[in-house]
Amino acid sequence: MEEQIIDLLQKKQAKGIDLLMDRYSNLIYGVIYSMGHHQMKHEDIEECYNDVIFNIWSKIDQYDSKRGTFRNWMISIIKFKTIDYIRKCKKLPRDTVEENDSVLGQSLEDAVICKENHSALKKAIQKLNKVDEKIFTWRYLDELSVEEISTRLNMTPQAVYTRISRSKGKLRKWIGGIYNE
Amino acid sequence: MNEISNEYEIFSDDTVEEFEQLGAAYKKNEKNSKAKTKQYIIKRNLKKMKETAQGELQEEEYIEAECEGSLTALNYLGNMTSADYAFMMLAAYNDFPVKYHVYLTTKKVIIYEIGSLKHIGRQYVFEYTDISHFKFKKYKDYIKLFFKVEKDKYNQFRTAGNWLLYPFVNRRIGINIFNDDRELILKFIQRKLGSI
Repeated sequence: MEEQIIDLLQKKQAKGIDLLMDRYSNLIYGVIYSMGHHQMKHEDIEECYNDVIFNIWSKIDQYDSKRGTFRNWMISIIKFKTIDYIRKCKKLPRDTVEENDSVLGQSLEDAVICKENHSALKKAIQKLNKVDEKIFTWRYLDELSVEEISTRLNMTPQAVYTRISRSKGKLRKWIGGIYNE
Repeated sequence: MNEISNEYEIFSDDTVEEFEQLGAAYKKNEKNSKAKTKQYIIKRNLKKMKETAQGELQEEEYIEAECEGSLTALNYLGNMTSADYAFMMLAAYNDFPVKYHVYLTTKKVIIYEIGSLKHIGRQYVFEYTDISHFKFKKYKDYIKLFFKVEKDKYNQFRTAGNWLLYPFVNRRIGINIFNDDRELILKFIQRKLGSI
């Protein structure tokens, strides 16, 4: 079964995903839940699960049977991914406080850091060229659609998307990778 | 000095069993269907594809249009339909992608072969000036496009993995475009080639 799954995943066949989920979904959920149930909401666990499956699918070529079993390799991936999600959950300000035992409220220190980051972001946006600054402000502050922006600037929507993507890259570089999407 | 182990972390059968029991208990209350997970993978693969395409762009170059197309038999596969080449059809069936994703930028054409769950297969990146031959044919529901290309950006232009097919298909790409804006896409390519 394990070899069949590896073979199908390496050939990038969707059936490999089906078999992987049939065989290992309990294990994947189990590892994620045991590590992250204090910090993660149900939807985070679901997203993390999907992300783990995606990672196994896309990184299967990195699996080396000489270094250990597929199961152990997979658990390592799940653990790393779960740690990523726990960090992400701690960083995200939540609208509601989790009903159960998790503590997700922001501390005073977190709030100060958040405010500082916000002002750094504002400054960085101003450093963009005029067109990109306009696009960014319209898109993320005024919440205009890409189509509306493209009509205003007489550009194709694709060009707007490209500019947004490049600006995000620049901002990430300038602010030091604080904002990961 | 201690050597760093190159092996994966080892988990005992008992630990794994505990995880599995925990997962089974959690899963009872959740309904994450396989379809949902596959949709997620498709979404991530499409995102990755777009990022890869954007990574190919130079300064002041933008993606002007994008479309998805299917493999066409125009020209090259048609050569093989005689009984003499019947054995090759099986090789072609296993080797060629069913779908392509095409990005048309201000300077070049980026084509990705798409496999299951939208993963990227072979990739072709070439400038409009590298197209030595361009042909199209309009049908009611789609347009057939055919490119013959001299070279691609990475000089690894291989449209076939099988050496028997290589002489017939290499450097040739045929795509059926079904998009609603296919006429616009065709005009865009013609305008680009006309301006060279």
